[in-house]
Amino acid sequence: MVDKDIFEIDGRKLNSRLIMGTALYPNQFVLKKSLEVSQTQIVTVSIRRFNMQSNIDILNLIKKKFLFLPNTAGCYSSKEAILTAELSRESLETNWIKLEIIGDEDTLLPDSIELLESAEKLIKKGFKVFAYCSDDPIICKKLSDLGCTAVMPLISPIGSALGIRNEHNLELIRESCSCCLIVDAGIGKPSDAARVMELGYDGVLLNSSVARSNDPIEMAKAMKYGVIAGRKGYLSGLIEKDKYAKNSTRNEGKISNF
Amino acid sequence: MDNYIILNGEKTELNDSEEIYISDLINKFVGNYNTQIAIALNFRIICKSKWCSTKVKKNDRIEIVSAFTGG
Repeated sequence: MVDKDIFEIDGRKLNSRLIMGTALYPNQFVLKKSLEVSQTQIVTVSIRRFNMQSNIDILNLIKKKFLFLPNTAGCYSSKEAILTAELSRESLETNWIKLEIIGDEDTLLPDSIELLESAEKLIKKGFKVFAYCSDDPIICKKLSDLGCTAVMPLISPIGSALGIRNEHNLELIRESCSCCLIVDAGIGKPSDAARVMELGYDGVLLNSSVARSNDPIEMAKAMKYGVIAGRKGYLSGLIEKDKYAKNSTRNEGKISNF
Repeated sequence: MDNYIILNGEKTELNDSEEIYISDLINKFVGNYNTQIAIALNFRIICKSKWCSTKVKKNDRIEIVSAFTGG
């Protein structure tokens, strides 16, 4: 059963539950190779003013191999985010949008009020919204109820590598949201990715922890295995924690009963 | 320089003597560059089918965007 586990999102059947960002890599070769070895099938891109001098043509580099999930990174208002989403749909011919509305420059934490408003408007305009949000169970439930394609709570601030700060909230979110849940932002190490998958999350989106590592290609592999290990652990049924020990070797027949 | 547009955030002078269309701007600033772009004119999307028929006027704000790396 575990080997037939398929990740389905917006009608697309995927083998990988790891979504990779494309920013911050030291060069194009490392970017391309890292994405390949991670076996991701979805990558995030940004929408920016055209620049002929840009040395990375992301589309020509990787467009045939991966599904693009454009983001609204850097947007601070609903108006900006909606225009960016519309520009991404026009240029990339996809109605997928990773909706990201930042509320604060220092923490890059999401503005939940603008996010809810924008998500509703974009869904009405036919977008498939992947909503980057806080790890607040109420906000996540509201986004799920609005009809977001994926709800994507952070586990700690973008690029912080702080890992899971509130596992209890992540559990509550998983319990209350039936939609696709993908953890986005804060993953620092492969064990973070494994842990969120053990909690029953559908996928992991990460960027900095791979791109900024000393060896992004090897780290991309490690993240792939982290996600797979966590998912298999979840599907296999983790045993319950216990306050006291439970012996694994039977006592019957031991020679020390004298 | 009073006959200008704001193109990707920068003041760009227009030639008084000729009509300029979105497609002209693309030819001039993007050329044959092999990438997928999108255009917003005064914060509204101009779809590809209207690039040749949409005239640019003084003080217009035009954004030409494409995909870039992102997280």
